[in-house]
Amino acid sequence: MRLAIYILIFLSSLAATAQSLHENSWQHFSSDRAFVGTDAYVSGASNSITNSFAWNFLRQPWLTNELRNNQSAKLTTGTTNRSGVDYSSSVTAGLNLASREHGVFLHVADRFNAESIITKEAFDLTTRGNKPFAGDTLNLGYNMLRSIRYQQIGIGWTYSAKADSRYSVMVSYINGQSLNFGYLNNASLYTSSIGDTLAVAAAAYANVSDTSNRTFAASNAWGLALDLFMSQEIDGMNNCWKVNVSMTDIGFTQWTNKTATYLVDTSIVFGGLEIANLDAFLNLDSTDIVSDSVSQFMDQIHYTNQVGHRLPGRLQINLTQQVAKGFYAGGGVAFRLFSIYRPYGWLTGGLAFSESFKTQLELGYGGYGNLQVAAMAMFQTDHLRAFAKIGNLEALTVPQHFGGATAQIGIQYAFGS
Amino acid sequence: MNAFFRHKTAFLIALSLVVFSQCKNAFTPANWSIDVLAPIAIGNVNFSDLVVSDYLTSDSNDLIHLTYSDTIIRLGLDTLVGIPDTTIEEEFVIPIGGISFPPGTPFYVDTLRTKYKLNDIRLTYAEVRESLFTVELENRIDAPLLVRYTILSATKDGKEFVIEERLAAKTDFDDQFNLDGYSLDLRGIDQNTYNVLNSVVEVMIDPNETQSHTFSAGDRFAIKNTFEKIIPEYAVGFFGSNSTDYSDKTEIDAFNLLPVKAIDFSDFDVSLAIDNGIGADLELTIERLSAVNAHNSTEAELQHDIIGKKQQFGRALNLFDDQNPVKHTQKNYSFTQQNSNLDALIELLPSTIEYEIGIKTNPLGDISLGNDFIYYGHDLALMLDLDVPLSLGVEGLQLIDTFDLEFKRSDVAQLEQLESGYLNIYVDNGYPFETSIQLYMHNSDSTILDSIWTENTLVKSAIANGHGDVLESVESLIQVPLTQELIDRLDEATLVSFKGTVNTFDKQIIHVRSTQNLAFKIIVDVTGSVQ
Repeated sequence: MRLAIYILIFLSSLAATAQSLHENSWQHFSSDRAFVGTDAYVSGASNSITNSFAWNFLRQPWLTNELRNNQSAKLTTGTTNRSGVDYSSSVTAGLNLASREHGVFLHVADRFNAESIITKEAFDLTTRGNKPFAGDTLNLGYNMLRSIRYQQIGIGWTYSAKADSRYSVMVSYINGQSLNFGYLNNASLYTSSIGDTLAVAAAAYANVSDTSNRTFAASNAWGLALDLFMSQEIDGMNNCWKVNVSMTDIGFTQWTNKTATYLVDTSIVFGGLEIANLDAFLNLDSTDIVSDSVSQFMDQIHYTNQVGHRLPGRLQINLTQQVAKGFYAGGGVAFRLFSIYRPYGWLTGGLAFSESFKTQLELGYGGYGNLQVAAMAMFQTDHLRAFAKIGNLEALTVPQHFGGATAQIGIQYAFGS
Repeated sequence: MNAFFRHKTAFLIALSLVVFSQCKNAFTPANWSIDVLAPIAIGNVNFSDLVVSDYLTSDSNDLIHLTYSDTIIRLGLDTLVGIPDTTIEEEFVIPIGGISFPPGTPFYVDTLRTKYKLNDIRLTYAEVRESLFTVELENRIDAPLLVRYTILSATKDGKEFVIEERLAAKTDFDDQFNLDGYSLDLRGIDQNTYNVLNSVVEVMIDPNETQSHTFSAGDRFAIKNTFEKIIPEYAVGFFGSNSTDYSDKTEIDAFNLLPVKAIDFSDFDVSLAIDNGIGADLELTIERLSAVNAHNSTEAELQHDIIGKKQQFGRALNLFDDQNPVKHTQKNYSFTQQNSNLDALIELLPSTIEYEIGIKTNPLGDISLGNDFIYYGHDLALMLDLDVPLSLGVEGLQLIDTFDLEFKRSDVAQLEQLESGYLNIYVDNGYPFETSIQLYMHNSDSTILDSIWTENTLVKSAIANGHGDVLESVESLIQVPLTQELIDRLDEATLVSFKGTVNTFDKQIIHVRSTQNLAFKIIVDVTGSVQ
């Protein structure tokens, strides 16, 4: 029975934070030793798109009416339907300086962030067509999609005067690989009851980085980023607590002048093309007729120029009870800048099987999703630190109602003593 | 962007897919079924579209009239009083040498008298509207000459027409002049004859020379002048007493675009006006007047009292007013179903009017004592005025509109699989008769590839009162299954024509009004899977 309880606790906490933002490996080593480390992080979450729908959309041949209806019912008409995906992989190497209070490190990472707002109306139009809405006007505004992928190489400094505190700063050069940003600000589609009139109004803005140069690490932007990290142990409630405060990827990117910008302000009432006279028609090029008859309604600006884009930086405060063995607790809050990511707060409960091995369970709310559950396991010795996380357990276990999946693994090795 | 909007169905689908467009590139997404409803064409056909609009008018009751007014025969001044081109050549040769002439003293003076051959026409006065007067001079004398050419009969503002040209020794000269605006007194120097133009040529050693010139034997001087293309603005005289037959034809385009196999007018108002603007008595005989449809090689001759009968026309009155110089004499002839067969000529939908007429001028002789006159633009004309209210019966009247369907295979290709689909064709019929309609697909050469459905389909008549006047249009829906074969055809087609065919011939007379039309909308209604 005892074994069963241990197994249950282990399994339930075998993962990481759900949408708590991942911490780079360099944040976990002090300045007194050289180290190398690598980690990878993939996370997707949504407060509106369920795993069931996403799985069927991405991996199954057919979306049934039931799936589409269930998904549609989960969506709202406003801007609250958030979805986001993050990917990160990195390698870090650090060296201690002679004083052992100071250390420097080199950090190389590849990152990707995508997020979107999909309104119920846009989803319904996409998955059902316009016929079910004949006689009505669909409001298609407030849909948004943004993705950015970039690589960074950073040089950092760590100061650790005492065993219970550490301060780090890293300055990174950013290479922007790709940027896609589109925002349908105001849009509507009216379909008359028999379909003889379509009225489309749309005001949209979009940026797309150079589409001819999209290979891995393609250089389409440059930028700078600043990371700050502080770790401090404090006493309270008869326990020792570690507070980690991090600011990650606070910076900007400047995309080259091959970046396309689209500004569309369109109002079209379309009832079919009309050519009144046969002779006149035959004497004209049909392309001219079509272009003339439609272009008069279009108001679109398209140009290429340099575009500045701020990085979706992260702020996170993490509080963890420090115990050598037994149960421990914690919590935290995460914010994301220039993002639709909502503040994410969480509570953790963990079990330290020994000083080397811990498991942890997290229950949080916010971020790209709503209620989220995650689990983590960590093994740490004097030289080795390894961890694995699985997040969004709620979505994995109840995919019809929740959306998301998160996984992270990492390993670091410290040299010397 | 234009290409994007060429395909409206694509536009709809693309619009709805925009949210997931990024996902499509990264994964192989599922298919799902959507229902799309989109207009692809509209049209509005009415009778006015079919005929050159200048010929169609509507009256206060919106009833459309075919009105046509044209001069089918015109005999003018150039036909009756044509002044022929005339050339005069003179040559002067010094027979012996050693003769000296001082500068400025004419050594050659000649008065030229040109008598125009105008048959029985005796012109005494004319005013020139257009003309071309060519002068060629040839100097074979070893001294510069001054040539003065004076047309004594031509005056303008009281001055005679004079040309003075200097020719260097042994050179030639040619140039063109005109007598436009000059008055020609054609009565000769003694003013007792007709058709005569008098002029004087003087040749002398250039007065600017300081010494006399001694001629050598054989020295030669020549002059050649030509009057061409003289078109009088006004002419007076006796125009003779001649009989002339004319036959010609006049193109008529009012019916060319009327797309009917046969037509039966129930009412028409046609008049023929014979207008005499010539100051001479005329005797006119219309020997034959016929309508010809060159497209189907049919012809009909007019039967009316006017045919073959001599019509006497008194002379027009000379008002001597620059603004309105002539009072015409006119006769009007009315054509009805009772006194003619003109409806048969009209219903032939003629492309040409052919005629043979005979004209005799001054059948009673020179009763004006040489005061016949004619002004430019005041002719003998036969003018046809036709007003046909479109109360008619027609066979095979085709109401046609052609449009770009904007339906391409690539549109529906965005549907992974077409599950079902229709072309919904809504026809709103504002005409008080059932109309058989069909849609044809054409390639870029306008050749018909196929029809969209196999049989002509009748659309309901508008609701009309007992007089055939429309109270309310009626909409009909024709649903055509959108098969893969039809999609292939539509993809190949670049034009699609809508054709409504009306048959009321021998059944009913319809009133065609400007407010009536046949409107159609073509809407694609498809259910298909997309990815």
